[in-house]
Amino acid sequence: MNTFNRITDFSIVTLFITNVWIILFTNILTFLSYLYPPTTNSQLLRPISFPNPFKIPLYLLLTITFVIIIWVFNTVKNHSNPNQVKPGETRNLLLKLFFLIILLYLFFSKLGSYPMAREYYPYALRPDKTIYNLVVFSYLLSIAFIIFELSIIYRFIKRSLLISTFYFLLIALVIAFFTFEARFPISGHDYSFFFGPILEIANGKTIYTDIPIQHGFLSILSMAFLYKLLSLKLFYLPAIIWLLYIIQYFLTFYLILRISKSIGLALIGLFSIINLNYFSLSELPVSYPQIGPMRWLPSLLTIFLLYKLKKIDNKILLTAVAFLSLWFIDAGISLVLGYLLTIFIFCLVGNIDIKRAIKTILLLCLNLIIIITVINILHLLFGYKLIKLGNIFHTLQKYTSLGIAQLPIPNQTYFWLVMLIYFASLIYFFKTSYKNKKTIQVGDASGRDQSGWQSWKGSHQRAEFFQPSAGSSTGGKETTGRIHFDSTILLFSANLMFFTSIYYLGRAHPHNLFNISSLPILTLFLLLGNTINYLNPLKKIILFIFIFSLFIIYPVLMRKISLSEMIIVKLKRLTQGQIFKTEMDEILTKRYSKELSLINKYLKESGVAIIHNDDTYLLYLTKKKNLLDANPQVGIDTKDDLAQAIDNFAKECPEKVAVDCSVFAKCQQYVGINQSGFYPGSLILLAVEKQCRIKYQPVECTKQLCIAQKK
Amino acid sequence: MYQTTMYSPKKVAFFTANILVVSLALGSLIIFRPYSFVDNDKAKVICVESGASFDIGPNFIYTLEDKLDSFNDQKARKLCQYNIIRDYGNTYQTPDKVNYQFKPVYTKDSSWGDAILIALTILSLGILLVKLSKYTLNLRNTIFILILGIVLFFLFIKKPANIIFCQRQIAQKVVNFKNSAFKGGVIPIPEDDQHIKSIIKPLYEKCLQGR
Repeated sequence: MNTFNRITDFSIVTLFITNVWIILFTNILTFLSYLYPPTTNSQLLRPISFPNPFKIPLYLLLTITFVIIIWVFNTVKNHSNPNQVKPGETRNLLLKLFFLIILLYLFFSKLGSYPMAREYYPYALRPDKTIYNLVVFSYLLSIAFIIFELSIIYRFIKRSLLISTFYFLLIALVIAFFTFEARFPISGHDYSFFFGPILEIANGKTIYTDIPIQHGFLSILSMAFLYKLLSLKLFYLPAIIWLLYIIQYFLTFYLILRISKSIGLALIGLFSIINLNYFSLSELPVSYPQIGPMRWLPSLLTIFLLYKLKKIDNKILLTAVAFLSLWFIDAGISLVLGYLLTIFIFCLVGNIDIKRAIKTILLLCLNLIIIITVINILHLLFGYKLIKLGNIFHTLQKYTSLGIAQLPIPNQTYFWLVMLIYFASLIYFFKTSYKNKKTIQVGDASGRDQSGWQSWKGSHQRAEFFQPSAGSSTGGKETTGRIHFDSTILLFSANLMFFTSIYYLGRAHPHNLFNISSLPILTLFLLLGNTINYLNPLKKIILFIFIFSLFIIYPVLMRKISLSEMIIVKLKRLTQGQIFKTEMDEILTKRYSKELSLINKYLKESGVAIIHNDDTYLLYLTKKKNLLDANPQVGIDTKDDLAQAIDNFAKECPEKVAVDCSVFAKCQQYVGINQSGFYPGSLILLAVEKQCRIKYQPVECTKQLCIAQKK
Repeated sequence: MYQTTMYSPKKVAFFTANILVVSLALGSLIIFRPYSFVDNDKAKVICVESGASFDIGPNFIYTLEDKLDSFNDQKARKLCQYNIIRDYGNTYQTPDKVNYQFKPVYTKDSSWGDAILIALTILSLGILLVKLSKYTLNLRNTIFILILGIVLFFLFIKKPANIIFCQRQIAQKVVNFKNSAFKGGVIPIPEDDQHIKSIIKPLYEKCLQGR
């Protein structure tokens, strides 16, 4: 009964805090949005912004305030009532259950409807709907069968390094099978923001100094390095993304397994993430590089490193945080902030003192400076310019302060689940920290080594948070160190989840809930993993069935049509043959062979200007240097972007340029491979003509492109 | 229990703070009480002739009450007649007759559960105050604090709480429309801004009078 009581108490506190947070957040945000309504910005080339300068600061400030309040309450409670069950407490169980139900009702009423439930865009609805049931049933059956089989295999294998390695390899193969997309399809728009900068850097332009970057820093530099020096074929980038997906999902599985020591939970966790983060999206996720591991893998890697290195201020971990934070700019900022918040909370609970915390932060800064200096030195050695560091935040600033492509957050959203998981993890961490301290005081009168978790060597004993406190207080230092170490991993994961979820907060489109889902699900399963071992086998099986239903069956049913279509597309692609050969080269050659001939006929110079929706792909085909400092041109959103893009062009003002034929009204406006709804071709042409004081007139056109000459 | 004189300044401050906590908790019930309003993102106008259905908010038609006012009624008529929106310059003539059916979709903001939760949060601050201080509260003192808290609420808190409630309600309605209209990006709508400004005051007065 005590355990049940503690679970009820924990749930009540978590739900209470989350509900209050949501009420305050939505009301304050609404009020601020009313007092300071969004305004248009004259810098923008089109009205695509929805700025809200309060959303993210409010999210951060309110949550940090709540963290401190939870800590204060926890400290006060622990000092006045040392975590013991009072004799009459069980009598209040009915009252508690009633309160819990009310809180659950209030929380669920704030979630609204399931994201994109029953939507089927971009697919057409089939007349025969039985196929959806058939596909979904086969998919669920396959997952259940794989989980069952892999659990059985795990139970019977000997725990040797070799066999474990084979087992993990098998898991990786399963992930590879589920996430493989034959012939590596791409979304022309999303990939152009990777291909474009890679081509420009490979052609001698310096990242940020000469060419603006939408997403990455080290990600783009490393791809450019692979492309230029190791001759990686550009259109095999989706294959790299696929490999990164395998690593990301495998790390998730590995961490849940190690923390929970439960293969069942780890496998259900793995398939929950694959199901929500991959199969719940509308289109093949590998085709969209920015939503997948390019953004989230650095966070997963640092959690994994913390697990391996054991210490939050380990020097290798610090270097890794600094290095990985430069992989993808916005995710990198989240990574650093998540790390700093973890240090801050460690200071609050007294795991590390302020002196050590400041030393850690300074070391992190030093690491960042060293890495950036090394990158700059390498740039100079390879004949590039120094990187203009101020430009690193240009795109981020465009999205946050100008509000480009931002969407308001609805009052009812499944995003609140992220906050529930965050507060649950935090409360669990504070509780276990207190228990840890108390136990160390009992076990080690000298009070040495307050951070007892650091000295954990891998005990299989576990003291349980939800078990009566008397049990844990006699569990010994090793056990308490273990429980605290596991909750440290949980805290770090939760903090990273908290910051990376800002991605959804900015552009609150329901599909972004699936995009950000990997860290919230990992954190939730780590929390479950921390607490699961007190259950007997039967209760565990019931819990597994419940989790399987909640995170696999329910989402599948909600996204039945879209998921079925995605699986059908996957299978069709598999049957088309040459599955490991990229389709993009064929598509491009087929589409732009005439345009390529035209460009080669008129534009003989090594540097060309192609003012076209598919500039990235045409430049790739022509293998010429870009005279415009923007690639792709669909990334030109503001007047500043445009000015920077034509700056070098205006110095040469070439005799001939290649221009999208729709700009000269020689063809209908069309969506190219880029498929962008907006292309500022006319604005670019007008700007270069104004700058060069000339007029370009078409001399020869195909159905997609014209060659224009100075008049 | 901390031994002190009956009216020591610390004790008075402790009791005052607790009385304030009780009255603020009651005030929060007023501020966060639920109300329903037309969701501009989901409400529709259905054109009588064509049968076409349009979401109002994304087409820059809105209501902050239960029905479309004359300004928005004109927009709805033009939408059904000419398939146009944002004809602020009146280049199209407004059809004489109502040619649409307005289908409001109501949504509820907040709930009594939410209001009670906020009240409990404020009360728990009081509990924290008690725990942090050296005083304890017996039944008599608790009743004394509750009664004075209620009195304070009726004398000083109820009116400002009601004002905040009405402001919250208007803010929610206006933001609901703008979030719905600006999904594709913010564009200048000075005529609508002006119109909203003109209808807010009577709406606010109406809310204060409890209508």
